[in-house]
Amino acid sequence: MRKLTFVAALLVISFLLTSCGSSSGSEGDIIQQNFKQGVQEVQIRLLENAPPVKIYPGSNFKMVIDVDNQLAYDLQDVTLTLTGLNERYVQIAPNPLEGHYLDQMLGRSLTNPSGERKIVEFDGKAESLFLNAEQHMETFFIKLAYRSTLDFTDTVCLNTNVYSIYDAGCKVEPQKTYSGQGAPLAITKIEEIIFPGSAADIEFRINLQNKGRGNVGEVQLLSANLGNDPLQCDFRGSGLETNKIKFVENKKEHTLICRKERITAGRSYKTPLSLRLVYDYKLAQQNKLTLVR
Amino acid sequence: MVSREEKLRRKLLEKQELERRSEAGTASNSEAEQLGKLEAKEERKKVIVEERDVRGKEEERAFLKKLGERAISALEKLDQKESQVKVPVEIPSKEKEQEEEHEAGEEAEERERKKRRSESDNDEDAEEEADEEERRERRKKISPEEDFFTALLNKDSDKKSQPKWLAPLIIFLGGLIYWLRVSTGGEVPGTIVPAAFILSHFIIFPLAGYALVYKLGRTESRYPILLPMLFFIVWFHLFGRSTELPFIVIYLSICALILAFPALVSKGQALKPELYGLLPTLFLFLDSGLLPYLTGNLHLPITPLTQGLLLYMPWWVVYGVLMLPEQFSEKHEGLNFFFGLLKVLTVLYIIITLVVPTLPNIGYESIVPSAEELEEAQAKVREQYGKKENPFISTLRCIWNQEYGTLQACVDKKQQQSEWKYVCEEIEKHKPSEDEDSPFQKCLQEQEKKAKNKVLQVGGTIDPTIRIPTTAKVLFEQRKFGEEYDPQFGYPFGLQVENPRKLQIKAEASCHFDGKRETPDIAGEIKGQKALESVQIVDFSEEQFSTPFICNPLEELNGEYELVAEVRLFNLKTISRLQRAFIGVKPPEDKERLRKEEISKSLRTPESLAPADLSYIQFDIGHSPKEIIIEDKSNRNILLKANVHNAGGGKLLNIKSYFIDAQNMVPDNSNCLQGSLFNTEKYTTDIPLPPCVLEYPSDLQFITDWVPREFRAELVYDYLISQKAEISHKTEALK
Repeated sequence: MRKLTFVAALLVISFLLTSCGSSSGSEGDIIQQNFKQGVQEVQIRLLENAPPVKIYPGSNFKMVIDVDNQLAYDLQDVTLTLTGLNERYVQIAPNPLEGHYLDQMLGRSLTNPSGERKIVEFDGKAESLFLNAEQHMETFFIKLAYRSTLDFTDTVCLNTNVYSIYDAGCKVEPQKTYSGQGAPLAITKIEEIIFPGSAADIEFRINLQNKGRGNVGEVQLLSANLGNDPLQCDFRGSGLETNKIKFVENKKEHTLICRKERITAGRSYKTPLSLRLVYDYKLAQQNKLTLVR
Repeated sequence: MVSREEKLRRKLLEKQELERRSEAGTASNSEAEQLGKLEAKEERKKVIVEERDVRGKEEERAFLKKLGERAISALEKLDQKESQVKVPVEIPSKEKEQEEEHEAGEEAEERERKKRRSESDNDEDAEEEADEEERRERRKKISPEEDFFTALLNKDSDKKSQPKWLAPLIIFLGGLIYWLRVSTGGEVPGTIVPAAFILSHFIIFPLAGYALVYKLGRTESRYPILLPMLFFIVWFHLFGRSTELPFIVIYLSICALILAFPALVSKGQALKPELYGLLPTLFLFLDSGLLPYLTGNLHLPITPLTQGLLLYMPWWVVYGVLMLPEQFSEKHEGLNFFFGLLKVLTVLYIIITLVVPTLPNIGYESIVPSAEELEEAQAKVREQYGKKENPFISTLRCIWNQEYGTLQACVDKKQQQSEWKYVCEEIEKHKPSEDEDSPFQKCLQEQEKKAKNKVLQVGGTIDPTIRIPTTAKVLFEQRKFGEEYDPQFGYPFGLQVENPRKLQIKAEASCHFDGKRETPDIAGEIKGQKALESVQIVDFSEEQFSTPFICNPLEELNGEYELVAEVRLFNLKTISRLQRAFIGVKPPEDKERLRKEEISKSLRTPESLAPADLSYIQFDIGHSPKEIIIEDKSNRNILLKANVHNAGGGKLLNIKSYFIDAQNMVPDNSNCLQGSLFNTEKYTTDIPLPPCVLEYPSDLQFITDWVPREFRAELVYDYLISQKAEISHKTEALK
């Protein structure tokens, strides 16, 4: 009896825990909500029955794709294409390799908390099956390419006088980690290294990581400032243009090194560190199309 | 408060005083009466004590007897279980028995002492208390788990022994499935009933679960073992093996919750049986073709180790052998010996199949299908690899020949030779012979030559989406016509054609009698309204066509003959297809990323695909054999290689035309794309077609992504099928 009571209590507690959750944001919550955090991606979804689960040879169908920008940033030069469809079995219009050019899509913000959604349509025609085949399955990919930006801001403590004992200012944090800035590309870690002296130097080692499902192309640093002063930054492993870096297939992170030289010695103080990057991103989603006799 | 001892001492003194006075004659009447009462009381007490003593001893005897019986039944239960299963049952060992007996004895003494104390106080409650204590102690000896499940499931707690027929039945059915797969691809011979699938999923699987239940001795707590099996079957057949994330999360959560319930209330005791329940599930997957699916669909490389596991491991037979009891029969030692030997042989078979191929190499180099897909994958692999000898047999032969040093190379060579022998004997229908001039040996030599000729090495595979190929058969109602049969009746035979694509086919039937030993050959003729010059021609285009013929000898038969009925089929047509991915110009890292993330998921089959017709073109296009990606690089040629494969067991008479659609790829030699070949009877298996180099298609040069293309190759041909029957006849004069 006691055992049964215990199990019943456990089930009730589990039910309560899973069913109770935080309420959706009210207006006040949205105002306070910072969209530029965590990892967000563009959501791509095929509408139900577009295309149908089974397609008959010789029939027409529609492929309707819902593109939903969940990033905290606007997207530029957005292009949606289809790859992997064999024209012997399926004809798609417009040309799936050229696809649809969606131009711009707004990101999530205070004025647009849910982000912009666009519906893209393709017209399809199923051709004949091979000989007397019972069915044929086509695996294809919906690909989205876009350009977007990434903003990072945080307050850092500068203390060039490391030998001072009686400094009631801030404490330098040698390393800070972050969950993301509301995009698939994220700054995940910053290390602060101070080279003390009468004219001290400060170096920030910024770790940039692709946290999304897609592939990052080229990343370019647009601006980096420490307070009002610009920082001198280079990507480790970059070529002639040190403010740009390309993410290759097997490498999912890079390090950006920013320096500020000859900082005036004095008490420790807090100041903002801000970065702005622009990057290319490609996302591919796998889907299937089945032709049946 | 006066203590009991003090009371006893006073009573004793009082009694002694009364006795002394009585003896002295100085006791009063009341004192005498009191003394009498005391003596009577003592007598009664003695009787009670004696009775209780006897009863106590009897109870003690009964208790010890029950203890002994429990010990015997525990020992019997232990005999029935396998040594690897550890069940926390307390087995009273000899020392333990003695200890328990000693304890029981001490307890009995303690009870006696208590009873004596209660007797002197005349306290029956103490006696009852002692009895109650006894009952409590006996109850404690039952394990908490038994008690719980007995209560929960309302079943008896007697442990039943395993039915003797269960494991042998699994072995038999497992062997039957294995034979079905090897001989007919898993279907009932002559039908499309998927017998192997039905047997495996719906008959052996539940039996396997029950065998495991009995093996672990958990007849009263069988549900933790059977529940995981039930969940698997529900997911596999009712939910269509759905792997969608939300469904999987919900389904697994529900399963975990249901499975956690017995584990929680039995304090974790049910967790192990639940894990055991996954064992039949694993064997079901292995038997159904999980490995062929992984190699065929996920392209795990097929090493000899995998091949052994793929084709030659009868998984349910192995399972049945594992489930055999320690001692099968108490009376028939022969049966015990047999099953014991079977266990040893099974283990040996597993070891040799698994271990030997790994001797020079390590097994794998690096890396929720439907049951139909699993069976298909197994059939496909078997079609590709099943022509070879069982690697176990090859290994034994190499060991027998003492080729230990190059064991793997020896096994590979034996495998290859067995494949050639299969082709020459089963497909080419040559009688095995050691004579070097015999057709069989010539065929073997050609196979060896073919292995060295790279053009002929182009392979293909059967298109799994085409279930009904174009096939034709010549059939005799009886394969032997004895002396009692009158040749004047003629010898009937039939043509049966499956023509799913409704091709317009012309069939020409003929026959002849080949004399055996020194008997001369005799020509035959086909009789009938449409017969012309000893042959009969029929035209048809139906999906299923059959017609009978009658063959008559042109001369009198005298002796033994082989009647050969032949049908020539004209204008048969087959199309093969081949898929490739064009990427234009891309850096190597992009190429590999596309291959890994997209192309390999979209284009899964690197070989050409064709229906299982009598003949078809096998071809390859690319930078290297079976390379799916074609790129626009001036320093890499794109080669087209092709051959015509004879799969029907008959003879390819003529290749009327062949045409390969190269999809805007210009060849350096147009003969490779189209042509014809006549009098191709001399070729025993594959007929090579001229190779050529193709140009990269101009319309795909500047693509930003990748484009799939499907090439098709059409073959129009004439084919000869035949069948033989034995004839024996003597003329009247010689009888």
